[in-house]
Amino acid sequence: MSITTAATLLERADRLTRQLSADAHEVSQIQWEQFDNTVYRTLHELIGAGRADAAYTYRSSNPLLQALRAYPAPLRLPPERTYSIDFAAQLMDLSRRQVRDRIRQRNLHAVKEGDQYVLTTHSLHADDRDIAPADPTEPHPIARLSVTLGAFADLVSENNRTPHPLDMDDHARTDTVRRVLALTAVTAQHTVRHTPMDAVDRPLLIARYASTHIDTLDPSPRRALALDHIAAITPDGAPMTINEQLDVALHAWSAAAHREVSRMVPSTEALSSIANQGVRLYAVTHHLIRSAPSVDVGPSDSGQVLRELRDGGASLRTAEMALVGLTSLTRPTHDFVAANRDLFTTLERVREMAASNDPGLDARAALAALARGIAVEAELLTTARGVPAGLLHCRLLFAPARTLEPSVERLEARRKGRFIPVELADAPDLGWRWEAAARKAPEVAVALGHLDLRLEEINRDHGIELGR
Amino acid sequence: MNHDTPTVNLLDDAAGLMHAAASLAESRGGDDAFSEWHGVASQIRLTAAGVSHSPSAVTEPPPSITGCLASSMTALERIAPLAGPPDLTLWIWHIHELRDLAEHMERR
Repeated sequence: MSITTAATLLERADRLTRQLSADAHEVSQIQWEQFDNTVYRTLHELIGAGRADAAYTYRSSNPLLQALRAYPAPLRLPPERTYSIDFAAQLMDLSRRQVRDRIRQRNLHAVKEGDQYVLTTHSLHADDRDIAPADPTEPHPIARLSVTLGAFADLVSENNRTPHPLDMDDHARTDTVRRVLALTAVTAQHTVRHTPMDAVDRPLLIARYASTHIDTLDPSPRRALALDHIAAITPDGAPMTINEQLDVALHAWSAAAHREVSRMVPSTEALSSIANQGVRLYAVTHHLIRSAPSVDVGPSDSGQVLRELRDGGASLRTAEMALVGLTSLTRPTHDFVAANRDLFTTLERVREMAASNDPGLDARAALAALARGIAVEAELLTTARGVPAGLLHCRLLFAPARTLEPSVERLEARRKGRFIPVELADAPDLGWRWEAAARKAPEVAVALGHLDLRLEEINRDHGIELGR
Repeated sequence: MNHDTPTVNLLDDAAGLMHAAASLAESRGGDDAFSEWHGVASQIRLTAAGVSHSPSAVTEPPPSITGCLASSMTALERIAPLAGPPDLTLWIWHIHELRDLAEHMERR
């Protein structure tokens, strides 16, 4: 079992860059291009991906977007993206008018997106070059740096594409971009010194670009806390510590719960269990923040976070109870039943250990894991928000006739103890209770995302250096 | 599922006893939304849904959560090995795990 956070990877990239000064190996052109391409992909994921103005309009005065736009002729653009005419003009070293002419003459294929024309990566021929990612087993320090930075970009990319990405505001994003630009400038200058003379132009250009744009971005006192929460989990080997057990239990539950929610007719008991497990996650988090003396959650207003947890818990409990007594006649899977119980048991152990100040529990790491669990809960609730109401409208929710409002039509069923479809009038609050819980859960996840849970992971290696 | 009536009755009785256990856990939790006993109740209801969707109404259930769960297992163990659902043994194991969990929590 290993957890790799985006913060860990960025720290590692920083350390690898510092070690470059002690290295005298020549940098090959392939190694440089892999790094160059990875840096652009990283900046693209940090700045461009997931934005409403992802087509990089020139009218934007956002310094981060300007920094991304100024990247000197990216070697390869991320695939399956669209770009503005401004961006295409810069990339092709043409004027806007020339690009428009080419579109009119059908030399460039543009598609309409909203009220503007955009060009795809493919139409710009910007994905023609095949630059393979750096090999994780290659010992060269720049290859190791490219692998680390590439893994960082992958994590940010995955976060950008989830329904509820962990949010990085522009101050925190600026701090991260400055760090990436700093290590880019150092690596480019190192390459200039250790590459054949005929190949120095590009590293020199990138070194100048990175050095210039570090200064155009205001230094921010805000560290990107979201980087601690963006994480990849690799379940390998038996978990040894309670923190590892928590990570494994959360991972297994997340996978099983996602499968339950996406069933054609989900089990109502599984849905209400997901809501209940959310309450447990909130309760244990609440307990840890309040009681564990070793946990310093940083400058954020922990009182506000505690209130959010309480309110969120009440909202989830209401949603859970709205489903109790109703059934979709779908059995929960053994996989989910076991994973759900395992997480409950593990959360109880965490709570007990926190209550007794057991040194075997790393409370900060546990809080970081719980924050990830709470983000998963928000995702699940968002996915499931319309499911109970949908089941009700499709007459796929059932209950014993004796528990529902009596009527002449239901007399026979009541007498024989039968199950009958639940009508809208029998559960008028079901839909909005789940809507309310689904609206609240992401708010709680965001509040948790603001806690300072930076982990001491400097010495933890997470499988980046394969075979070493 | 096409099981004979005694088997179906035993499955319904077992689920009914589990719902009785869940009710006891709910009442222990009271009005506190953060009480772990509401979590126990949820775990029991989830497992009961795997046993039967039509739980019997139990008139005089055992007074403790572990007692209800133990009676539920006893009911299921009365089902002949090939008469019940193919995954019955696994459901019994889930209830066994729940009983251990409830026992641990009741001891605290």
